[in-house]
Amino acid sequence: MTRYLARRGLYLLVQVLVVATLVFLLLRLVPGDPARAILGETATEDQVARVRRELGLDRPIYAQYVSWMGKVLQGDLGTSITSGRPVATDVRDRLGNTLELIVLATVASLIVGLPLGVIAGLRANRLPDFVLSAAAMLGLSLPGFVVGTVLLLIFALRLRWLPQSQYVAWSENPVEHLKLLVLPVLTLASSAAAVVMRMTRSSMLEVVRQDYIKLARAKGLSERVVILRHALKNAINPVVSVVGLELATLLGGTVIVETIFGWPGLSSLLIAGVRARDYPVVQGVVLLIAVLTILINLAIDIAYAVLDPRIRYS
Amino acid sequence: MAARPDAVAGTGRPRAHTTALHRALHSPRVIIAGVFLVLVAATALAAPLLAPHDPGEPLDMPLLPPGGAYPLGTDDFGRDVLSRLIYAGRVSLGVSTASVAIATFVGVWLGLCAGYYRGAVETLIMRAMDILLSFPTIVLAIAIVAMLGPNLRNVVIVIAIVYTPRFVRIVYGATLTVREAEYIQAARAIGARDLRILRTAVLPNVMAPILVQISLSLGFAILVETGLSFLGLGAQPPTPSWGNMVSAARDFMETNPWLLIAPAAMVGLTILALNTLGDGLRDALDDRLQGAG
Repeated sequence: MTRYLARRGLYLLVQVLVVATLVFLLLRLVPGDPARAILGETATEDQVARVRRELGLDRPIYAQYVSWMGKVLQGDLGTSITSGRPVATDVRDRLGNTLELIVLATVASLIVGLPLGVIAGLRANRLPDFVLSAAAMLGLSLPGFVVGTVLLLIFALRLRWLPQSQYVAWSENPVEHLKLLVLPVLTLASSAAAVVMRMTRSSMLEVVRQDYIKLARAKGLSERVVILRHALKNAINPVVSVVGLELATLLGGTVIVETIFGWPGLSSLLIAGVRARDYPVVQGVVLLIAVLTILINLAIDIAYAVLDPRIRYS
Repeated sequence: MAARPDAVAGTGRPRAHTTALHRALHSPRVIIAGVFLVLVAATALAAPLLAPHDPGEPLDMPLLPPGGAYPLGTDDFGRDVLSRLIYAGRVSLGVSTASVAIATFVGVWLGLCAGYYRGAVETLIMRAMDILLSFPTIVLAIAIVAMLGPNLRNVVIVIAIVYTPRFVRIVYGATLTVREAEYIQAARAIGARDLRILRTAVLPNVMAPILVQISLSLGFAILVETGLSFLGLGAQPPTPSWGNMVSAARDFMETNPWLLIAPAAMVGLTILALNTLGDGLRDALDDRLQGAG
């Protein structure tokens, strides 16, 4: 296990360095002069030269690369062109809000997806299974922007049960804050719950056919114990790995959800950066999201190894 | 899922293939999804013939309710919503088909090479794909579009880049299992060239998982295209996309909900149909997908 962790750690480092390099190169994709693209056609040569200097574009590319890497490794993501604040500060302020959405959406998707998946698996190819599987298919297929917009229309605008999108911090008013969270979390969880349900269903189907389940039933154990202790416990592993993959998808999903609900997280910072052509902000957020995804994947691999003693990494 | 009797009836590989497809084509949900997709595609192709009005031309009062000359009403610029919906299908289907075609072509060849040659080629290709996969799809797409500039050509490129790793992985896994088969060894022994082996012996045997992936990827590609357009990074107004139609409808959704419902329903149903088709194909090909990763 230690050797496995060491190797994974080294690989992680390489992955992060490559990702950081790619994010550095992103700026090279801008056709023409990035400084000119930021400022627009009306800017004077002096202004363009100043922004070029601020972005470090006046230096040779290898010098830019070394300086970018050096700064990134120290946690310096550059300065926002629009706000003039360090990107790292903006990113740190908003990271918590995005993680809050993702964690709650994951919990919600497990609360809904696991039991429904067990029910569908146990009643496979019967009515409850058909209904649940169809619902899951719908959850998977409806894009986040459709679900979010429709939920907003129904619950905030028509029924007025929930507030619209004026953000309220937890420290200001916890109740309002929680009310604001409901719709974005539901939107994110709708597809994640579908994924969890489908995986639980197929995993349960696989497990209940095993001999030890027959044995458990033959021993006269109650159905509840057979399902929860014997079947679900063994069916859970693929679900864990799919939840891990889903975390990365949720991170992507926040782009749409934060935009619709005006949630001040990482992704809305990214979109604001894209609209203002604030390239340092775009690079900073993309780098952080990529690193988060890599860390999530690592955590899942380790959780997998801990949960299933049969998996040995040598 | 256990192989049903009819699945094992065919003895040769091609037979098993046809039986599976045959079986998929007999499932009602696959038929409904397929018919729906054919209708949507045909409508999109024949848009200039079918659309009652010009999709970009303000024709009448803005925000007219459905009915009369405008079956789905008019939008905030007084344009015919039905015509825009039809032309938007062209954009969404066109972008997704083009990008998935590129992703399939590039991904299949990279996957075949990685699985067949192993060694350094394998390491290089597969690690590069790992890196691409370490960005959430939409974030990678946004990052690239943000830099290249928002237009449909760039959206096609971006979606192709984002979905290539999925094809590489599937084809790679399948190729690994196929490459050790006796008929490949035999082909090698009689001196067949690598490219010929890959094309004639390996490729046909990894077609099934590729087919499933194409169907699912088309759905995801529409998801990404409409998502980008919703965010203002895809199709630029006045070009209609289901995504930017939903986005534009948000300002009027309380008073004019149909503006929202029509494009939302189209994008939802189209992706649902593609996923249902992909799922149906996968179930039918299930016995052949085992071990394909």
